[in-house]
Amino acid sequence: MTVLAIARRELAALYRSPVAWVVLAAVTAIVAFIFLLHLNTYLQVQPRLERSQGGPGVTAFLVPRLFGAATTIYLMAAPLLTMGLLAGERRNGTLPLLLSAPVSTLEIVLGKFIGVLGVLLAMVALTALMPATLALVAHIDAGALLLATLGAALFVAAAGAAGLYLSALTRQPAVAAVATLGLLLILLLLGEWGRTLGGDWTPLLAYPAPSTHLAPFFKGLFDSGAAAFFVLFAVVFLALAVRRLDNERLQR
Amino acid sequence: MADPTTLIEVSGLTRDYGPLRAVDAIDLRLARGEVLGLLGPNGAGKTSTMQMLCGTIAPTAGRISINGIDLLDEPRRAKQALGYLPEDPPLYPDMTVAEYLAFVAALHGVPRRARADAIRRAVSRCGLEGTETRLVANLSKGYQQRTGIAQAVLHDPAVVILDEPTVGLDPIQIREIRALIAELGREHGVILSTHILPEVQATCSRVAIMHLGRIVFSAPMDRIGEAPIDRVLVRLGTDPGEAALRALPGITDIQGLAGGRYRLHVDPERTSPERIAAGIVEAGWGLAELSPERRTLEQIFVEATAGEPAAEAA
Repeated sequence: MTVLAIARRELAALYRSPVAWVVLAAVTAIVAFIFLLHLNTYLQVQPRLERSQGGPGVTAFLVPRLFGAATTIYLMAAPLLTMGLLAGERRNGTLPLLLSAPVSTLEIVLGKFIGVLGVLLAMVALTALMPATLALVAHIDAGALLLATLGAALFVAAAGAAGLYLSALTRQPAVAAVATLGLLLILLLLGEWGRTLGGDWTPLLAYPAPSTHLAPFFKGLFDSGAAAFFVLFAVVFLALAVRRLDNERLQR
Repeated sequence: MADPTTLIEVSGLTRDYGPLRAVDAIDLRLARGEVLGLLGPNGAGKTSTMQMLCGTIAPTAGRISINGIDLLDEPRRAKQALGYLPEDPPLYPDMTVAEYLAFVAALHGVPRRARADAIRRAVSRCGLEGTETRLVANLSKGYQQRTGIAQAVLHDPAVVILDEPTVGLDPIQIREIRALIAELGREHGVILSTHILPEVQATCSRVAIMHLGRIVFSAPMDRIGEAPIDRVLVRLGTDPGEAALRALPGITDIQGLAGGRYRLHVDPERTSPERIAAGIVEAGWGLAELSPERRTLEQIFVEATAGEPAAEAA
């Protein structure tokens, strides 16, 4: 399977470069700090929550706050991982190797995507491990935690696909990184703006915002519409990346 | 394709970059056992032609068939018969030579069981023994170039296309690479582009000269040595003057050189060095020296790329 060969090479290259390690270390450190802050808050309010009866448990309190903050961090980290996927090949002069091999552009794009998922999902898994450790001392709602993790995983996959497409447009990885960050931030900010405008604007502007579709997952709900949003988002950008590589051959 | 020895058959191949026509309706044939040297000044369209043959860019018009398989209709099957070394070797600096070749083998669909063998063969063919565990980034330019060639021949393709394979190598490495190209030419078909003329003379069995996107000259190498003699250099004891020389049969032009020497441009159909010698002796001008001048590849190249109509020797 050539897709897997390309994916394996990409994953190995990512883990060989310091970028993946620095990004994973930085994201994990920041997310751990946020986790401890929220845990501390929880411990302070816990006696009151217990007295009031029916207040949120530790999972319901921590998971939405932790993952909500973590996805914003992912939004900044993902572009750094995806920026070199195709821009790097182009700058390295290795794109002709892939294009002249008996491999379709779809296989190239899928291989790259699967490769970078290996790092993106590791990033999400490291976050999920933090609330999971609480299972040693408290009761954790495993289903809610898994759903939040799934939501975050879908989000990084979608962000990764967008980053892959933007990396196909340029030979400068830095340009791809900034463009990806810009795109994801604009979607996020438009959603926030829509919420402040109210009325018809709210659903219109909030729809493309990732946070809208992440919210049900973090509340412990499986919303198939939200899942479909991320899957479609990823498919569209992967298709655009394939088209871009095909057009490059045809470009006149 | 009816002819099983034809590896590449190209017709009407054209490529435009915006308003610029880089490759203009060229026809090309490569047979098994042939090493075709693609010559031309920079910007003649050599690299674009090679990129189209390898499928990294699509032609604007024209057909390409590789080993009888149409490259545009069945790119996957056609590309299996191709090995390509672009101008810049497509190497991943963060991999070792062995890892890199294993990746390329997987990319070209070499079966898992056959990979170790294929890598061993390519390594020994390209003189890469002892570098397998080194990072590509740490190799010298010459070894990087060899790794690039190893990549192109790894899956034992029917056609090997090399874009300036000896750039940046020292003379000893160039000799080794040329020997390798000659060896490849025995079992495979090879197309190589270069602007080093002696390289073509040393390695190629056929030469095609490109200029402004067209093939302006194409001939088997052995024919170039036997091209009809159209220039004769003479030194005479007594100088009869240009007008008298012009009276000899078959002379088309005369260039007076220093020291009583003349370069006679002759029509090979109407005269020969022997007849000129006989004519001079008969006139009693004291023939001191006579040497026929063959057109060298360099002269052919200069004439063909100067925009003049070139002779088609093939």
